[in-house]
Amino acid sequence: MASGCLTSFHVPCGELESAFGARGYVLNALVVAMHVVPLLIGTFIGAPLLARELESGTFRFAWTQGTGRTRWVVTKLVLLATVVGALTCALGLVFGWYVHPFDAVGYSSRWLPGRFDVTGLTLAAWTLFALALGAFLGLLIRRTVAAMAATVALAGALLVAAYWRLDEQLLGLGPRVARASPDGWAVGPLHTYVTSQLPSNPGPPGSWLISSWYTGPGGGRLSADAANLLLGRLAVMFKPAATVNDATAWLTAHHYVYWVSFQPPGRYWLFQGIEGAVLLGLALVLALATVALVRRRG
Amino acid sequence: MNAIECSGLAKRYGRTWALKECSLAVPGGHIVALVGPNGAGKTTLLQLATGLSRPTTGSITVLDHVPAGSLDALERVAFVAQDAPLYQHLPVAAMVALAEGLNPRFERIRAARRLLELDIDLHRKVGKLSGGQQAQLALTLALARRPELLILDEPLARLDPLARHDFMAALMVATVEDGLSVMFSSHVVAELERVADYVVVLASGRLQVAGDIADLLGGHSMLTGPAGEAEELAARLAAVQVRPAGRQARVLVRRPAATPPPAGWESDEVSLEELILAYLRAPSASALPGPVGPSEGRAADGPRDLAAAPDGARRGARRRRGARDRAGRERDRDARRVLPDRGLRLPDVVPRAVR
Repeated sequence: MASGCLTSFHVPCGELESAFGARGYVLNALVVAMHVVPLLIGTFIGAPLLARELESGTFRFAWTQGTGRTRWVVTKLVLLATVVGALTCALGLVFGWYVHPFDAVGYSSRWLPGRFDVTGLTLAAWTLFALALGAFLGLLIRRTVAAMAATVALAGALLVAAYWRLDEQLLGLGPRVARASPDGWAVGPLHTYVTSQLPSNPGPPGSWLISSWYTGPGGGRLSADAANLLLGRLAVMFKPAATVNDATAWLTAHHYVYWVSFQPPGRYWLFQGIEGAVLLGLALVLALATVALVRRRG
Repeated sequence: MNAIECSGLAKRYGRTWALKECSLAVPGGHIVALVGPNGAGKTTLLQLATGLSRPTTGSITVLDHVPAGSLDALERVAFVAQDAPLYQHLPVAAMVALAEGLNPRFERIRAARRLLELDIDLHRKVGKLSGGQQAQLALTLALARRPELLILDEPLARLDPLARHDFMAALMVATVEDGLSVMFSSHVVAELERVADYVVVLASGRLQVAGDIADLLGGHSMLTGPAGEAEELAARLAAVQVRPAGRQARVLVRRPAATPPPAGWESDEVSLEELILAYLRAPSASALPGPVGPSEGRAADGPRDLAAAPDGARRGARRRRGARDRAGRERDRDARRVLPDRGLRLPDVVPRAVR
């Protein structure tokens, strides 16, 4: 259940959650499918682009025509990159449109590692990177099948690394820190965003929560064990008839503060831009290396 | 005009030298046969001439000092690589369109007319054509570029005798119509005279023979006589090769067949096949035109291959070239002056000079 749901919709949360939860498997399948797109294009279009020419000997035809090999390879790369870039960008936008309701009810978040890499911008950037990587490896390896295997392995490894670690590292850069409601309720149960609707809100809706912690009466940060101990004590003290507000009042009275670090929603496109720029930069470097190698070969 | 000119050209793949110290000037307007056994460096030389390969050392230019592989050269030189590598999955029409897109001077009508004459279906996939048809298609695409120099690597290798005949006929018609220079490689030496009028022989990466076929044949003769006297005669006449044939011996020498033979010997004209095979069997002998320096006329570092050419051969070649190429003669004179004698490394079978 998401706290966005509590305030934004005049529908019982349970119903909303089950309605979207029933579609959750579609969402997950689509997220996986979107990650396969760069791999497919890198493997089946990028890798054979030059490897097949070198393997079958047709490069001897292509490179001895009047336009010359430089223009040939540049045209090939630019045309393909334009088409592939436009199509994957459109695909990312369509996917974003489909998935928006899941975000609105708080079932999913655009900040999630699986989601962050498949927007219109990042999906296109990943795909162009895989395309350039495939072309470059094909030129180095000169065997179509081997180049395809190397491309899927390398691009796949990088995508998985982004999913598990790199996105987290990127989104953890320079977070904002704020006091939240002392009981931590202001932070949604999904722990993926922070909402503004509840009291003592630390950030606008659509933020990305990175971490949260308590500080004690002395101002020191509580360890995870200490925090658990405190919550356990609260549970005993205010059982059974007490309300959340009693606990909150007690925490406030005893100078316990709940903190969150998060990325505000305004930074979403900044981080999208960073990831996109890094990937497009890598793609450009690979493409330039490919052109240089084609020119120098022989 | 020189169709192909190289100076001190060498190409190394890993540790193997595919081509060594090759200096050569092939005049334009000829059909040049580049012959040699498998692995002699023919493909290497042709790929250097088309810019597919880059020289390890030395330089190569085409069509009068245009660097091989430059955009200017690519526009004026057409190349049909070994086994005519075309895009097998494309229909013929698409292949023609592709060639048109890749060549500013491409003449589509000409290509289409030729394919019609050859009865090649434009809608068929290239991969479904016979070997002969693919070779013809590759030649058609190359000719439609209106090249000034056409280079073909083993164009005959995959063809049956009939297709071979058709292919060469097409090539010769085109040569006459367009006045282009042609260089093709072949490891088959039979029947070359019918097609080519200039021959270049490569053996193990080394240039061995280069010259106008008529001049080469006119400058050599086969002496037949008693086997006992053969060695002595061979030593005296700078023979290229001695072949025992029973009690008789056949000695290939560098002098016109009309020259009166020594007593007891008969002098015959030599066929191109005999001549080429004789040189290939005597790897240290060579028959090359005078030294070809770089285009500026600098020949101080005379390549060893040329220096090794016996005086007789050089003199003959010089006489030939002199009429055509005044600048070349100047170069030769320079080269003669600067070529040091110590550079001569004469083969055992060839005595120092014919005096």
